[in-house]
Amino acid sequence: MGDLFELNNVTKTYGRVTALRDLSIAVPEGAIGLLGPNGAGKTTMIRTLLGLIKIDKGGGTVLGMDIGTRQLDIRQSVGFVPEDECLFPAVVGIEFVTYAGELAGMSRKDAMQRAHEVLNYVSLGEARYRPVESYSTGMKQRIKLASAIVHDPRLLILDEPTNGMDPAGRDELLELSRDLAHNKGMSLLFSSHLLPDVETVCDYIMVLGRGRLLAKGLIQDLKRAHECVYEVRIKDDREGFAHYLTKHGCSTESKDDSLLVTVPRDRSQDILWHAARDSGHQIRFLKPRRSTLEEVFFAAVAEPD
Amino acid sequence: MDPIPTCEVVGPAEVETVVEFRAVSKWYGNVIGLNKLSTRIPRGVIGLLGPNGAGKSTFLQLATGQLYPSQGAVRVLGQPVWNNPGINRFIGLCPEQDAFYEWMTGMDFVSTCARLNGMGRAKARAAAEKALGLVGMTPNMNRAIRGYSKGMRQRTKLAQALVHEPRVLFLDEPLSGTDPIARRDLIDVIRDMGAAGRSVLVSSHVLHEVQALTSNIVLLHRGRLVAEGNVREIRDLIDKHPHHIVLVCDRCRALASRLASCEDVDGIQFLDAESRLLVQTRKPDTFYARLPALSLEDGLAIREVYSEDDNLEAVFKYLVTK
Amino acid sequence: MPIFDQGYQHWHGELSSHAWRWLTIARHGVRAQFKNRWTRIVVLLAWLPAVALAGVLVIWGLIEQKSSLVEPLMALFTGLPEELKASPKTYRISIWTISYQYFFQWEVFFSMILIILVGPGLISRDLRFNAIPLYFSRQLRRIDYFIGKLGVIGFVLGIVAVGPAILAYLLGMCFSVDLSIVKDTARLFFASIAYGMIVVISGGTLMLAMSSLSRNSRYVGVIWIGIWFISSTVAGVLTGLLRRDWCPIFSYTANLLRVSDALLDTGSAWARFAQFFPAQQREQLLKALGNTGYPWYWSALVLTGLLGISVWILSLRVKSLDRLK
Repeated sequence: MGDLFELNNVTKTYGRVTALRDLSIAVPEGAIGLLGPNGAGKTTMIRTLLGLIKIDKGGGTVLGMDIGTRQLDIRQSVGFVPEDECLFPAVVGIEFVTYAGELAGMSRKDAMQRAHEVLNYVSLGEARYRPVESYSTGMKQRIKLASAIVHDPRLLILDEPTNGMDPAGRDELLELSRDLAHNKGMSLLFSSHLLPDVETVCDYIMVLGRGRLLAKGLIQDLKRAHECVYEVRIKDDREGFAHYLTKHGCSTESKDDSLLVTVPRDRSQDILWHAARDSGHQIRFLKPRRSTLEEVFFAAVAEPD
Repeated sequence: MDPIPTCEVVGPAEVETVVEFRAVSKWYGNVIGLNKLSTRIPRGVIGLLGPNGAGKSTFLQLATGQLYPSQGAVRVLGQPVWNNPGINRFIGLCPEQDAFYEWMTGMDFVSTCARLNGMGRAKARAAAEKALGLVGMTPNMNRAIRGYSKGMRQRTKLAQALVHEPRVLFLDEPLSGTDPIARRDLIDVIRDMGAAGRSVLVSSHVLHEVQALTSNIVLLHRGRLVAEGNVREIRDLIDKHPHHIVLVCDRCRALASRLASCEDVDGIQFLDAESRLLVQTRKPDTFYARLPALSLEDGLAIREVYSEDDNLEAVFKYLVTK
Repeated sequence: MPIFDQGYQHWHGELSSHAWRWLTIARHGVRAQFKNRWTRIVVLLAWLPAVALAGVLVIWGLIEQKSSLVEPLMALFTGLPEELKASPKTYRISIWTISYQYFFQWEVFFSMILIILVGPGLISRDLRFNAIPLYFSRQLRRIDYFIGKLGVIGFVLGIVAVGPAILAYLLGMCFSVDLSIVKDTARLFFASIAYGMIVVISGGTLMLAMSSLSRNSRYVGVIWIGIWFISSTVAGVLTGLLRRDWCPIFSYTANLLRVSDALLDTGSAWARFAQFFPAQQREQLLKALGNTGYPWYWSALVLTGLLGISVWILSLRVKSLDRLK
């Protein structure tokens, strides 16, 4: 399993704005999340990976192909689902995907056969015979996804794919992305601002900020466990519960509608159940505390330059 | 960022119900937008949810007086909204569409909106500065909107909605396109506004954002009201879908045999041999009340308790499946 | 295994090199255009001048052979000078050249109409529906895209102008029976192909540039009509006012026709006919029909200039995805 892509000291400036600053990273195959505040350089990095822009300094490879010399070849093995709404005008769904396949280099027969297959996979049934302009947002996203995978790329790049979709559509798209990445052996680069979506689909994330790499790693590893700290949610009023715990030596802290309880090392976790029984409360949620992806993100972004 | 001032009662007398729909229907030709909808929206932050085509945009347009109901009546702060320009002093709207005068600076735009609401020039500029400070746009407010990123445009839209300090705010997808940092800041701003006594109705597709903002929701589907109120209460009332609660215990099989003798347990499933149990119950109250005593019994210490479907996403899915 | 996996399957086929992408774009565009009924009707109508050309060449071939088929028609030609009727072969080049000249005039007219039917949506609809990222995120360069779109116009004009002109030539050749005709009129054969290419490249690039200026194809159509009519009107007004020879240079179609005349060398063709007319009218006739008021390379320069401007506009308006958003 080689690297999915690798960038070495890549720098790219647009006039006075430095979009990427000495960026070096090597990423394994699999489902990768790309996170970062606005203006961090995510779009520029995606364009670099697609071989669309000339970088000022540095180099890199995508799927083993050099981004300086083999830009056109890279795009044969990469599929891209852009963020904005875009479609080929005046075609029905099946022609849209067939055309996309032909533009990738497939013969017309291959493209049409494959288009039907891929449209079945994204669950666009009879709608494929209707003009694309009449589709809902969710369907448009799915047909964009279909047109990106019609030539069976090894890497699929998704830029804010769940933007503007209703919950049902979002779930379907995330389900498709997860299936492609985990069961069908396609590598995914998932760029999104919605952290729960990234967590659903990806195992590995990279955080960019101000053109630099701020953090990277498996989500599981980055979410540190906090020893002896538990997140507890109580039905009804938690003041009494918190009061009981502090009386018995624990420290508590409120967070949204849960309570973070730090149990001293010499006590066991049972103190929580004692508290519940004695104060007559129901514990509805109990888990050892781990950072959320949001906290990982903020910690990464807050680091000074 | 500056703190939000508690709003004083100006204009209509303080009412508990801020937005009221009485048997409202609205159709466009043959297509129905809302179908005999009756609801009373209280103060605080309320989430307006629904799949595509549920009627959320129709709802917002009726509530802000942009549309006239085909049937029924809409009242905001006790007054009818249609043809009532006076009420706009107390209403703020942050629409979903992105339409600015691109050549203006953010400051110009928001102060112009303030002046359109009746403020004098100096007062408008001061209010605009305050509003832009609230949403975190102070460093960028003197640049042309043409150069703004999506997140900045969203913040400017929010600023123009609250520049005249309205009593009622209608926000349509206010956080779309914002990065996690801006999202956290804006969520704090909206929550503070709700806490300060304003009413904020937030329409959004992103369920976990709504969950971070509030536990009170109004759920629409096919133009009708499906549910309103607190999410957990609604969940408890959905009988058709028993609660799925996961318990983690070292001796899960012993725990399971104890639970099997309880009447309120409908089903027990062993999950991937990691000492996890999935319990189904239709009486969550009784079940949870039982847990502390159970856990303290010899050796049955329960290490984790959680429910995957006790949240807004589950409520949405259960109530709105086609 | 009896149950087959219905999910996503991998594909292991061949992908062609990107050199042929422009053909895919051209094919797709042509298919889209021919769905439109009006395009099909105008294409059919545009074959009429070619039919007429073929007819004239065939009749002239028959006259040369002094065939009996043409006897009844000779009554129509009593006005012709005697030398012409006596030895038609010597005037063959002139007759063919002048027929081609009139054919090209009609060809330019129909080309302008076809370009307006087929052209405006080519790039403006892609801009409106934001299809550009879909194109350029694949193995496609800007030049492939432009050549592909130009190919749509090229195909339509090709089947209307170049193809029929070649067919007419072959027909005329068959009816002359005399192979020396090839030597005499070969220039016309190559001229018609070259001229077709000139109209496609000049008119096509100009139309693509206009199409890239607006997202609404109707405005583009209006701009094109503007270029056509307003430039002709300006030229006409100037000719009327100033009465100079170079006034027609302001009209786009006049420039195209001037180049066609240069290719065909109509000047000398009309010169041969001029001897049949009385002396005073000769000068005027030559100027009007031979169109030798100003050198042909002025028109060529104007057309090249327009080509340069079009290419510049295209490169500005259609940026590939390398730009800061």
